[in-house]
Amino acid sequence: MSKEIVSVDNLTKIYPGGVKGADGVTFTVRKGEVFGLIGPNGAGKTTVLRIIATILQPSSGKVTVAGYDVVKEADMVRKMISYLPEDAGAYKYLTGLEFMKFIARLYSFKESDIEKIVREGIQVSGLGERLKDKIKSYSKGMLRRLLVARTLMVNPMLAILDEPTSGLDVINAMQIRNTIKSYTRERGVTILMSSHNMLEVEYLCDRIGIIYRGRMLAIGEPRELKELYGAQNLEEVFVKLIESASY
Amino acid sequence: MDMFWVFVEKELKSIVRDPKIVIAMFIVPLIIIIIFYAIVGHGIQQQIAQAVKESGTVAVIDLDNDIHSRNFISFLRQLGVDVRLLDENLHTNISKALEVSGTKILYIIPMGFSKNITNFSITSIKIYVKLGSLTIGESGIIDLATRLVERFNENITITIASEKGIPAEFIKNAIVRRPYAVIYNRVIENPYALSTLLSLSSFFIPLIVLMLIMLASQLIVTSIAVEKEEKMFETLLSLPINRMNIISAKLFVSISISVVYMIIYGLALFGYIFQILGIGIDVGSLEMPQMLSLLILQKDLAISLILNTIGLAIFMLMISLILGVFAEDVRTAQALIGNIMGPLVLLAYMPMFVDISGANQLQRMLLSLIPIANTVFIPKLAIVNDLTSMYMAALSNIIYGIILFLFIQRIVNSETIFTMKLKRLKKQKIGET
Repeated sequence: MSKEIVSVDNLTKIYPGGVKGADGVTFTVRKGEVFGLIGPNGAGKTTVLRIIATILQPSSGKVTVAGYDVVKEADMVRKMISYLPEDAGAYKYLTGLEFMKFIARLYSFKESDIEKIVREGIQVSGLGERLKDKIKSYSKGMLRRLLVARTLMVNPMLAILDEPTSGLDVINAMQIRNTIKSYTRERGVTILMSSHNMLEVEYLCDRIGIIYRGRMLAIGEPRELKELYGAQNLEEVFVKLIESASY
Repeated sequence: MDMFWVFVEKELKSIVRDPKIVIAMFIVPLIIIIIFYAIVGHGIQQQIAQAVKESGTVAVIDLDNDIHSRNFISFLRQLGVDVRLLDENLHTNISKALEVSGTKILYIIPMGFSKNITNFSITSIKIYVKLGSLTIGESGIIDLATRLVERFNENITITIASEKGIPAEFIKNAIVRRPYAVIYNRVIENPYALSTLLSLSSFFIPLIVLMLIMLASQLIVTSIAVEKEEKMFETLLSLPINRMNIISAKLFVSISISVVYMIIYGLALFGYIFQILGIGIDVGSLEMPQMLSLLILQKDLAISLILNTIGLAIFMLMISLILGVFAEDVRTAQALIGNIMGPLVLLAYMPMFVDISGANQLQRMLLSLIPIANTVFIPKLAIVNDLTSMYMAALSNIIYGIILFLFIQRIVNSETIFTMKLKRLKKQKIGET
């Protein structure tokens, strides 16, 4: 658990118009751990995840994934990661199975590998026969399960999940949490995720980083942070940190 | 399977199954093409009407000055044609004869014309047609001038046959028509070939290429915008793929489908335009000039046209790619391409009716640099013998296309592809107006 998969060092992102999406953010994600970024809306979680996923570029600072620079070696980074955006979709006129095959073919040319990846996806999604239906007929929860499966089935070195259960009902959210939990245990995949849900973070994450107005306020294990701030739960820790940062 | 083909397969499946793309494929181009054909058809009809009007006055040099040459002149006058008789000495200087008469058509009746007809020998009438604007309408004048002689031939055949009591077939083709075109003081044989060249190279080829581009543009902007609307764009940008593979697969599928469409719509266009060309000329059935195809195109002109149209296709598709990449959704993309295509179609339409013979070298060079319009100018530049401007026109579109391609490659591999959105710009524009 000691090797760093992600290293974010003094990351700053300034959008056109001067809005700061990240302001000197520094943290690391260790191999095999589930790291959660938590913070209110507009705190900068998605900005940080998008930079690590090579979609946005930092204004300053250095970000590496498995030692590869996300700007200079973006192609290598993309081979290491699998990213699930918060507002992700899928080709609704393909079936779930066709969609998985399409993604699998982007990761391997070998038919045997493609079949293996798709088998993994079928298992992770838990959608069974519904995978033969067009995606446009899926509920929001089913679509999210398909997308989580799409992200994990390629067995990435780092899976980046932006709000993986956002907007889902309790049952679907719980199924997705369980999927993530079991998959990381079985495969040892490193996960970097963001969430609003403190219970989810406490359930899934080995360590968390609390981000607010683009700045990282605290990093640690949920238990450590609760002790440090004398809080009953992570929500209290979160509120205390936000309040102190606001003054 | 190569990533390119993975995307091609996905694109084809989406196109077959997605009604939005079906709309982009069938309905939008159909509306655009109906409007476009109507505009072009109206323009051609007006040009032909103008040509017929201009042909109402003809000049005649009567070297024969005998019964049947005078019959010919009377025949023309009976048809309502204003005939201006010119001095016999002008027959050695055709340009001057046309200049003096102020007409577009000049007939020269050779010596012995009447004698030959009387003796059932073959004779001829030389037909000179002055071409200036090199527009498609001028090809109507050639047809009309020839048709008048043909009508006289039919008329005299029936008259003589009934007078002499012999079958009309016996003297059927007594008068051979020898048509020439006069362009910028040069006399060119076989004006039908010239007319075909003008029609093909300055009208049909650009029009068909433009149709291909319109269809491909619609498809490409829609298929890129669909990625955003289906919220796959962000995911795609994070995948371990060459982003240009996605773009090129979309281009490949769009162009392939458009080629099929181009053939269908192109055939419809040919039928429609030929129907229009027959309107307004009431001198008998219209025999269309033989389509001699590209064989009659001179090598330089053919190469210039090919280079130019390839460049045009690249240039327009690059514009479509940029719009598709930046448009936030399908509606925005289709609205943007619609707004861009309208003025661009005008750029192709206007030069078809522009006379460049009066323009100086600098003006012609500037015209040759106008994308889209320069495709139509190329044959006109060839005919006025301005090879420098013609080559500039041939290469300029390719250069514009390459510049845009480099720009696209740059933005596709940067975060601009994700952060730049045209929807806001569009909303602002609507607000302003």
